[in-house]
Amino acid sequence: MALLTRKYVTNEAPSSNPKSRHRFDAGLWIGGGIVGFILILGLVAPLVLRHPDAMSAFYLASPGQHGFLLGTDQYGRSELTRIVWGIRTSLEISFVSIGIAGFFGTVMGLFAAANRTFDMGIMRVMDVLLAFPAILLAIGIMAMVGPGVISVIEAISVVYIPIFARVSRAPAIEQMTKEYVEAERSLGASTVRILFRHVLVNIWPIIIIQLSLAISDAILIEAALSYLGLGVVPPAASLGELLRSGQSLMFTAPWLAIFPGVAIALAVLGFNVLGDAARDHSAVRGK
Amino acid sequence: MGQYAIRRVLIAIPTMLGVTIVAFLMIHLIPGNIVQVMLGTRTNVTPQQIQQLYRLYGIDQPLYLQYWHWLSQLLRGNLGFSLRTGLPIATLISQSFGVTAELALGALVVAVVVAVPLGMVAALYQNSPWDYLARGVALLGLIIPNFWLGTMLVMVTSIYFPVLSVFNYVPFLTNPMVNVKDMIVPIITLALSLMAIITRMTRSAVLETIQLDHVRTARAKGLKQFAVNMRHVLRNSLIPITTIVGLQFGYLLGGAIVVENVFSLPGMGRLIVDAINQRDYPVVQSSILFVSAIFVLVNLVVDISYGFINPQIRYQ
Repeated sequence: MALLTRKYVTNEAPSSNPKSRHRFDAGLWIGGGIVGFILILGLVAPLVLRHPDAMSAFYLASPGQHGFLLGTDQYGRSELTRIVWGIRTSLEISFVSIGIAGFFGTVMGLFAAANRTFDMGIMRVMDVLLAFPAILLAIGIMAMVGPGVISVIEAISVVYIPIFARVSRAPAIEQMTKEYVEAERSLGASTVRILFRHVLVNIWPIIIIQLSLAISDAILIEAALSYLGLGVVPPAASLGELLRSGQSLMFTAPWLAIFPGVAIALAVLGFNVLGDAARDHSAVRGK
Repeated sequence: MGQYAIRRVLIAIPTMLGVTIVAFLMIHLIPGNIVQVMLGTRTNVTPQQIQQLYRLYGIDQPLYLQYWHWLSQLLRGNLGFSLRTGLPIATLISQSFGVTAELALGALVVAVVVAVPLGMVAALYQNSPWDYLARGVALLGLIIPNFWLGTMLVMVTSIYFPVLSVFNYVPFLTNPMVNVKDMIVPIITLALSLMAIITRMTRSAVLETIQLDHVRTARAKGLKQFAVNMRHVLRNSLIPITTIVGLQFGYLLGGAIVVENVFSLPGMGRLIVDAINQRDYPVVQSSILFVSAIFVLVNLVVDISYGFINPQIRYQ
């Protein structure tokens, strides 16, 4: 659900339709294609495009006019350039914050699976964090630490750590009962070694899929925060910030309000389809 | 059943306490402290006065004592006072929450009314145009940010239905007609993502149910197709649907907070964002705590009522 929920890797059974294997592959290709396209856009932006703040003499040029494919804003800045840079900012924020959340969440989940006392303590804390609606928790953190890229990263990380802790804990507990763990232990391997050399490797696919879904959420949360004026602040361009500034001009220059939203939807679509397809493809089941 | 309900309530209490702790600690993340924020750049304050303010706000006490006082005030319904206007926060929230609740409830009703029939038709006539429509809705609702959808709807309605694109909030009790007219677009905006989830859920639940033996039996004994669909298919699909509806309602509150800002509706979302912009931290803190408490409460009620609908769940 756009923006509102934190998506889990669920234990939804994969479709029983025998033909559906092909569709899953299509999903992987489509999702992967969109994600790849967006990543390339974000990566090559600084190489081929001008600085996002570079102005021109053409104020509010409509799309196609004067050679600006997506038009210009009230300062004569190319909207296409700004959107591509915005994608870059949004991707940076999402990747870093979800990376942090994925790392700490997974480590917590693994230790929780190995140690009951730690499990009791840490999972209660995670439950409390999950008791807040995601966007509200993020808004609360932003309110206290102030706007800016780093703050957005902090907020999204805190919101997502409990998700990764939960998603990794359940399958890790399952793995801990397996014979190979017992064998390792009898060979004298430490808990840390068992967790990170063996259990982690076995639950890795679930975490990868969760990463993809979480990134799509992170893009939406960043956009929402910046849209509310709490996230990335101008002149830096992020997709949410572009939408915010475009909205005030939506009747004179509707393209400024339309295109950033399309970019957000496309990015979210890509990571979602990729995550879903990967889940169905490997028929991974959480829990 | 009573036992199950009591167990759920007992689980919810520590969660609720935890939520208050997080909300309490939140305010300690701000740079400096509340008195410094309140004074701002004012220089005509003596150190004695500052000490007095510290004492008034209890900042000179250890953290756990501060928490204890804050919590005990909270339980008596004292949510503190706005730094900027001096008004009791409870008053501000009671003025705002109605808008948020109306928005969320309206979106819930619209989403259910559209999505359940759509999901059902999609499942019954798989790969028909209805099915594609349902899948389209499910996909769009997932990827379109609601604040962008809101902006687009404002643009479209201002051209084709100018009447609908004026958003001067009038309370429902003052003028129901105007209120409903003004809330239509915000409600649709908020409803789309829930619609997507319910459509998807209904479709897969119905697809699963129509394969079951009892449906074949109902059909074999000569029941009309419509009766089979309503009495046997839909009723049996309702359990997962009601669960998802209940669980998502809490999230609608979060969504409403963003959507209100698109349409400048004077609800909790406006209250929070305005308070953030004015650095009115106590208002932010109490509002977030309030909405989260409602969220926990709604989830609790859903959990318990789910036990009523589906007896299996009570014994797990």
